[in-house]
Amino acid sequence: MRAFAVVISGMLLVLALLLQLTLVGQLDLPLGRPDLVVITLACVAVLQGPMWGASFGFGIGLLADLLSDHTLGRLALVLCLVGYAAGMLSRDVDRSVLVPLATAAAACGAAVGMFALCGALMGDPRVAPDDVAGRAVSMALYSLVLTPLLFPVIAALFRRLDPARAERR
Amino acid sequence: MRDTRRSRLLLVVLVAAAFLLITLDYRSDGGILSGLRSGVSSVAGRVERGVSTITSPISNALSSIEDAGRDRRRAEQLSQQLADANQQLAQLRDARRQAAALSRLRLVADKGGYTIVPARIMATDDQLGLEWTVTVDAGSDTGVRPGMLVINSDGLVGSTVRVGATTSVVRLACDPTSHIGARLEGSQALGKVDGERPGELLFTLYDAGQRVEPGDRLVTFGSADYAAGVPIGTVTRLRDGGSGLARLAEVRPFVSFGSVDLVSIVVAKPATNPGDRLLTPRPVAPPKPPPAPAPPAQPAQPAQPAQPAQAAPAAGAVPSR
Repeated sequence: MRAFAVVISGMLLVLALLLQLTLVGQLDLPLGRPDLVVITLACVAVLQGPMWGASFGFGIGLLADLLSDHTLGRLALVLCLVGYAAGMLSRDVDRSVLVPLATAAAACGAAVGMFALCGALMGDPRVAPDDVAGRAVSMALYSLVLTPLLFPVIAALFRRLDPARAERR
Repeated sequence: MRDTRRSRLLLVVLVAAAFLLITLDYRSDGGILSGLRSGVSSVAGRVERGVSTITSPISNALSSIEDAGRDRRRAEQLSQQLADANQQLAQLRDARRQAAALSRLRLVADKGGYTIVPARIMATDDQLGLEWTVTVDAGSDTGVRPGMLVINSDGLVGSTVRVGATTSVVRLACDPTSHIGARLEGSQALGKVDGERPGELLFTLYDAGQRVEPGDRLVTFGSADYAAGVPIGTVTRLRDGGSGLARLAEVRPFVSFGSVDLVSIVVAKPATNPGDRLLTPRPVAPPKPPPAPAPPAQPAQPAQPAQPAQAAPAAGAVPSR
């Protein structure tokens, strides 16, 4: 059943990436745009722990890198770290509904910040500090709207796939 | 399963792998990594096309479905019909808009003598909102190569950077890594246009002896790869604080980068430079005398700041060119 959960997580993240690129990326929303990939990753990590977070973060980041214009490995690095950090909170996930919410918001903010920092270190001219702060805040705000919709679905999915593991937690 | 040695080891390995990738990609331009990239993009392009055919009716429907209102079956039926009709209407409008956009594109291409390949934007590669590239549904199968200009009926959109068999990645002109050679309308004053942010480009004049003023319009200069004469935008403000010797100018692009849908890729240039033909003619006499800030024009110059309202002095200097 565990292998099944791995496959499902992978499919969820790839689906999130595709939707992000084709649908969300083209929406014209105020302030900025939500990032489905980071939110989904934060949900998976906070449910399954740091190892899942780090490996899936690396994998989906690498795929997104391959589909984009920037230096290969940047998003893989950022999302790997974000996934690991979110996974560290998996012990507290049952304590309050606020935990996944806060995790997703923090993950979005941190992802934008670290991605921009990476770019700044490599001399990418697309990074403007005021712009980055605005993006990070708006993305975190949008994640507060989307996480309550996504998190219960993903949690229920994992519970069904691996009841024993969910018990132990 | 929490913060064990195993998970920390995994993190270290993955971070090291990411750094390795970054170093490899940062150091080497092209090579095996770029081959991998274009392979993945062309596979993903096909999937994206499929997904966007599914998602575009959804977004259409989202925008047209009305509030269902009361719980009566009849009302539901009616609102369903209305939604269907609205959706059809929206699709029809969309089709008509696309047809109009296509014919405008055709017109522009004929005017400039360009050979174009029309394409639709499939995805914006907006990773975390800091990049300005888009993926379009035309590739090397239809003759697209990297470094070609992408235009729409308003003017310059960007240039192709990576090309797969049926998809290509286009770097928008507003991306700060985009640099495109440009020329002032009606003169040979050269410069380059860099992206700054959506809705604003930055023009750098190469020759300090030439002048650039607000209201001047820019077209691409053209090179071995780039087609010449594609309208870029209008100068709005000079940087260097009004000393009159500005070489940096802010440019408002003709294209609104947020709402680009149909574009075309200029795959072959005309034999002769189209010059300024693609710029829309000025409505009335231009606010400044034709490009010759030489002695004869001097009497006209002091008069201009006094009457910014442009009291149009009859058929002006436009036909002189």
